[in-house]
Amino acid sequence: MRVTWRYWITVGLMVVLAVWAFVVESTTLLIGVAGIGAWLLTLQYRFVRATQATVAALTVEQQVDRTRVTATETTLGSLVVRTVQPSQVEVSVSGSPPVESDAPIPCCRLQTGETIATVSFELTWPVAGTFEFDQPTVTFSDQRGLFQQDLDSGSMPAMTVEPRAPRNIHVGEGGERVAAGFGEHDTGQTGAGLTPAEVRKYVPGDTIQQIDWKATARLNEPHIREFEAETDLETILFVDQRAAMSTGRDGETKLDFARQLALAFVENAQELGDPLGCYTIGDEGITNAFEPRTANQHYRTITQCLRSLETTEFSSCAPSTAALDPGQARRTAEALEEDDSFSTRLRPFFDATEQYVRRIADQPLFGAVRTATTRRDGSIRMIIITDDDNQTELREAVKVARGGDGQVLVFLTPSSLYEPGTLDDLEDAYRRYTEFESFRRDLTSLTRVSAFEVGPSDRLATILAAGSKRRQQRSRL
Amino acid sequence: MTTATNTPGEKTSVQSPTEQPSQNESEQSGVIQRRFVDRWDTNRSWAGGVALLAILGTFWSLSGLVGVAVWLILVASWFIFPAIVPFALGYLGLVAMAPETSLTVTLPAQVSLVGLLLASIVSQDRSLSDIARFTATAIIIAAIIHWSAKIANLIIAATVGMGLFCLASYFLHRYLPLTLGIVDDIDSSE
Repeated sequence: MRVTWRYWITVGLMVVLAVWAFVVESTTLLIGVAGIGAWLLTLQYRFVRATQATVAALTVEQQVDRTRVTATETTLGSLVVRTVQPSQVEVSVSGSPPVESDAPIPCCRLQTGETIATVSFELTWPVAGTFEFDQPTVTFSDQRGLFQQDLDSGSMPAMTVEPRAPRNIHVGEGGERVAAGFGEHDTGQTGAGLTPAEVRKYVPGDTIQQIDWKATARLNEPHIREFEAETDLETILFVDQRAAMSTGRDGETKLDFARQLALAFVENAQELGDPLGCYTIGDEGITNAFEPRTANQHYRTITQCLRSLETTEFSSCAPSTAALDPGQARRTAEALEEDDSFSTRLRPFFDATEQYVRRIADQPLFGAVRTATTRRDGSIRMIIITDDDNQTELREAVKVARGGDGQVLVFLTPSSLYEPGTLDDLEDAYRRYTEFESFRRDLTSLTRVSAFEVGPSDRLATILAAGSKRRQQRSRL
Repeated sequence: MTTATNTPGEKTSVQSPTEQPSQNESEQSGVIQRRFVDRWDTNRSWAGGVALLAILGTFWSLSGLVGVAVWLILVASWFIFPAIVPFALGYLGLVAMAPETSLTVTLPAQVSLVGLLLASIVSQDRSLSDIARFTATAIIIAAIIHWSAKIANLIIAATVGMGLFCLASYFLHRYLPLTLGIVDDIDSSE
């Protein structure tokens, strides 16, 4: 219970009377002190009784019209305060929408004698994620404003805010849709497990526990039953969130597609119980790093992180991406055989292998992949989700990622499928798409590397149809 | 803006989002509302008027016209302030009018002054148990103070009276959170 300034003023009045009683030496004034004291105590006791009765009959409900929305959407919320009997005290209820929602804190007042009060409010959800309302704070006040009591009471609805997600996702190779690496993984190995693989003859070295006694009795010689080995596939996701990933229409940017794909991998890993790590890469480097783990909370944290992922700001001091391939530099330098002044002047510019390594090492994606791979060895599946803007960096990152005997999946969002106005010039769009396809095939040709395109299926179909038409026209000529 | 509508079954208070003021407006209206709420209600009632008439009679019989003059001040304060202010002023006036008079002589005037507080208590909720509780509490504290003043001195009497009040008020202050099951929160916040 809290007392207000009015209570203290009343107590002050009692003190004044008591002091004055001492000054004038009068017992009568002390009787006045007793009267005010009795008045305060009576009202305090009445407040205690009324609050207890009201709390017993009170229901506070925080409600939202939907519990699942898309980011930036607006929902309606309401705060309902209800009592079975007319309230004997003033009840003020402050709702507590999550801080992530862009909403004022609503306040609902139930006056003395009322049985129900409702306040409705609008909530805008700019950030994706799962948020829970706090319990509303109920404040009881007596009619004279002498006493107050706070109490947390009421329902706490949860709100899931989905990021604005594209609906027509195409994942494939050369325009052909393929199934991504979802589901269980065949290791091709036998060992401890539950699924029978094969029955084979006993060979020295096999343990007695491995003998299948039924098969041995049936075939008259010792046989072993082997099972499919069950292992966890450690996966690390690299999700690019650099400024270039913001290309595309509102709600259909490269990052929107990349995010949806990454979320699908997280969901799949959670279903199979695979250890999952995740790195998000911004223009300045790694923005989030999660080491591979299997705890449910870990999957939820990664999901939350991916849902709230936004592109980072491009920094002008970020290193240049135009690095020269060392092989090409070497070939060009060799071509400058003549010792004329022109060749002498140009040669240092092509002698750039060391500079190439330094410049690539400064690239955020490459740096993130290298950081992840240096910390672990063995069979790891690396999934890189990025665009095709920094091809040299990506190629080198993929080479580093497939170190050991791990598998690398690269999902690329081709700029030609996202840039606005691309479809105005279909011929140019098709040309750029074929360049991308060439790069994708180049990546796929690397050992243990698979590269896929990710983009809006309708735009891709339009570009491919234009390409097909062009080929037909050429064949007629 | 909050609108309240009364229906046969229930009394309701409804506020829609379109009626909600903007943040700036709500801040301004919050200030206005706070000023309105913070103004201390005088809780005047017909029972208070009856008590004032009783005070007029007792003060007139005690000091004649001076008593009436003091009574006029009480009436003015009764219109402006809550009941405790005219009550306190009445006691100060009583001591000023009859400084050497015994308690038994001023008893009618004191009872009529206490009637002012009683009228304040029953102005909103005419509960007989509250009237009995107030009367009993006032008599008990007054008796203890009077007895303390008799056997000791005024300082002891005032200390005992205030101490009794503080003890009872603190007990009620702790009792409510305890019955609501939020004692831990109180402990951690204090």
